[in-house]
Amino acid sequence: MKSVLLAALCLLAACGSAQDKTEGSRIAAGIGKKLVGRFTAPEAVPVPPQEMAAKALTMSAAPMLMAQFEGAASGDIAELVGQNGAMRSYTTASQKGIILRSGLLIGTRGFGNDMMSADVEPAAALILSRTAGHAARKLRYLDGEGVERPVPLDCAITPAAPVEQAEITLTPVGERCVFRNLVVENSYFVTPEGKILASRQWGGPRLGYLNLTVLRD
Amino acid sequence: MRHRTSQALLSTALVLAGPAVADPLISASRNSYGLTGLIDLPTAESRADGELGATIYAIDGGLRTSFAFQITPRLQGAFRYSRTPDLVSTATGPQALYDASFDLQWQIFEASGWRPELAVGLRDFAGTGVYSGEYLVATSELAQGLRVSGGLGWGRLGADARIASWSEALGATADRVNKTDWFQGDAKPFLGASYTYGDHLTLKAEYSGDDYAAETQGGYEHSSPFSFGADYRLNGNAALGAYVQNGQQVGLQFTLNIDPRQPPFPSGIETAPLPVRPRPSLGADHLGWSGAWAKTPDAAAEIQRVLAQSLKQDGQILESMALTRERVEVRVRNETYGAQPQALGHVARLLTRAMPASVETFVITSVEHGLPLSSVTMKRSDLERLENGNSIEMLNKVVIASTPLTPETPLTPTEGAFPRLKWALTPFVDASLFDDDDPFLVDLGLALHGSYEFAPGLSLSGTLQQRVAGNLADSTRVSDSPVQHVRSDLGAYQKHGDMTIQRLTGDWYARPTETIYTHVQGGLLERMYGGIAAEALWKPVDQRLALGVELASVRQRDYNQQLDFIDYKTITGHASAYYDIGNGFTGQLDFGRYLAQDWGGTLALDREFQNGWKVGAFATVTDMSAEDFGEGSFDKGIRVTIPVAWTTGKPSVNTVKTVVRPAERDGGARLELEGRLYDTVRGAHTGDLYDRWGRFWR
Repeated sequence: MKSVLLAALCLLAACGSAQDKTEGSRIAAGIGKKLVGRFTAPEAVPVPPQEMAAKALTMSAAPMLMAQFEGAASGDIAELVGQNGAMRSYTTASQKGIILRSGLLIGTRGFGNDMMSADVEPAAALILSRTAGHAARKLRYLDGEGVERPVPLDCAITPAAPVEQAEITLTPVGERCVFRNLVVENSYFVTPEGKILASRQWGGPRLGYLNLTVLRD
Repeated sequence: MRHRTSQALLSTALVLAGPAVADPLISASRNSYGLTGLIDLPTAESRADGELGATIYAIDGGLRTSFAFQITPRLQGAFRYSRTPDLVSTATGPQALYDASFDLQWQIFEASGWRPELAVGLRDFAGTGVYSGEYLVATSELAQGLRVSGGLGWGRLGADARIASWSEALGATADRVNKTDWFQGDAKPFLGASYTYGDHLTLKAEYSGDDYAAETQGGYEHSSPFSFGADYRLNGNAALGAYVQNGQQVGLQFTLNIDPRQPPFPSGIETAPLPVRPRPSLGADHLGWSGAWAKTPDAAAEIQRVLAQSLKQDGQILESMALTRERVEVRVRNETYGAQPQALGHVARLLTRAMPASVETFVITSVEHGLPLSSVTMKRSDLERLENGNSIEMLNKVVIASTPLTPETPLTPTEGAFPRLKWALTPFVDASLFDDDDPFLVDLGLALHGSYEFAPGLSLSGTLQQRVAGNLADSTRVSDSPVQHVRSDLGAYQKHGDMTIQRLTGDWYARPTETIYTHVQGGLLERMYGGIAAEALWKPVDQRLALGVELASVRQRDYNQQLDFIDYKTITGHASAYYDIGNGFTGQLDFGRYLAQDWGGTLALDREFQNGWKVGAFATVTDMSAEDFGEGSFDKGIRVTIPVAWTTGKPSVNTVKTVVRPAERDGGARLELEGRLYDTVRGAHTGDLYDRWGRFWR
């Protein structure tokens, strides 16, 4: 009887240490769980962002951001896991990656249509110094065959008048980039020290815009 | 002959939504034959390059199942199974005609200004000729959504059937490529139009010269040369069609399209890897930079232990390591990532986190079955400087070379890496489909897999299966082949499901020289054969050409698939050449002696996509006569490989391989061996490494 039960359990989810052999069954079990979950799981109540941020700040002393893709139900807290020069790698709780260089988005990892890399130095120089001007950007994505392809953008940076917010003077800087029919409009809030406190940056053709807020630098 | 990085391609911008300036006319729907077209008629349109389509068309009891592939932007091909009932009167009553056929269509030129697109096609050019015909067709877009096609048809399309009588079709065993018949005989014009409205609906109308002479004998009523219909696209992949053909007959069509170049998750949904850890300044880490750490006796062992642990969490196995003050070589087996560059990128990043500051040169050797496949050398400074940058910049800095036979520094094996036991208990499905008498026989059961690796390259593995439920035991399939039933007794094997040993072999992999790999396996090699097989492959790391030889001495196993054999033994072997032609095509040529002791050769051509998809066709010609071979007269088929990671977005080394043959006969049969060397070694050689390097920083 016990062996029949064991066999039945193994039929459902496949057992064993050979990951390559059990993969098929694990995929099928995953699909099954998702389908069942659709009917039985209670509706997830999104936590308000301020609450999420406040809780995260008490739990860790590392630099962190709040990241939310436009259209997503809720945002994610992303913590710094690595710094290489001006480049910072942040990871969310679900282990997805957001990579910034001087506060500008240069990569994502784990979203399915990730930005692989971006050349942003000229644009960063203008945005951080809150100077108007033109800059060329190049973003890179993987196409359907996994080959890295560039999206070259021609960007016009226009700073606006500074605003006071909670005792900080922030300069809103707009960036309008064009490539054939594509128009991308990024916006940044830059401190007098040249740091980006909050921004709305385009992640890619299928990712859309990402809202980033620095919780702790 | 050498692989080169195609930097020009990498500067071509990503295609965003919206058509490019000059596009071939992409057809909105497929016809009942599976290619681009209206109802029965073809059009000169194409589908997206590389797209696969499966079409099922049912009309008046008959059924056509076609598999089509856009081989290149201008060339499309199809392979079809069809069943036409009550077609042939025999002594025992009217019989259905089962047939397999192949089509090819070539677009001569694209539309440009007033000039229409023009294509030429061969329908059913290597079958018994039920659908045989040739055509020239031109298509033009007159207004938004309105396309008109017209052309000339020979053969069946010209109401000039290629076969004199249908009992001839039934008895014919020859699959002749009937070149002399092409474009001969009466030609008739045909005309048609399609109107696509919105994203979903396409209306079609046509005038065809096909008089359905064959089907009329079986009761098909052909009262008009006009046919009308509509096709409705359910989503990006599936479509339904309904047609009223030739005045009265109603046909229903279901189409499924899949484009290997449009995966659900192009960059994958796997988690982000640990990033590069840049080295602290010289003042902050004097011990690390000076190399004084190397004097500590257990330093290397401790570093290896920590690195092995991190790699294991990443899904890779650190088999051995050689660490000196300035250089480290690691031998890593990738068990997770379908793209080897992604595995290399992860190892490189983990090395920056585990190695002391004085170690500047990283040498990552990719290992599979204990075989060192290639060594990629990179500088730590380059990794620190180029992290998350343009992957081609990193590719220009690394050196990919074959691994020397004796390592520069002796390697220390990782403790606990060997011996290694892996096992799995999984469900399995075995099926027998499309058989005339029993179209759907299936067995479900449990399979126990086990493998024990004694040392790198030396292992014992096997699979045991037990049927739990199913009806394969009721199979009445019996082979009528006049030669030794080397493959055609599949039905007899499938009947037995109790404690069958699918495979039980000992394997030994070795690399006698830098460019030659060998593999010897002995035991129960596959379901139907046991014995000993040896293979040797010459493949330098950076060459397009590979040459191999394989020799096996085998006995045919008993139908119960346990430890017994039946009284047939033979020696089978081949010399093979593999060539990476370029533009995504690879070819393979084998010459030798097949299982039924027939001598001959196989030619295979595959279209390979850089994400791991492969679609190909093969044909084998041997000295076995067409009469002995039976239905089909020579072995041929289509094979598709789909990487599992493409469908789920999660990394995987697994692929799903399917081979479809019009007829499973005994000529041109090869052993189904696991661990054939070409597929084992190529993933870490320059061709595949360059193709998939975009994933290095993923």
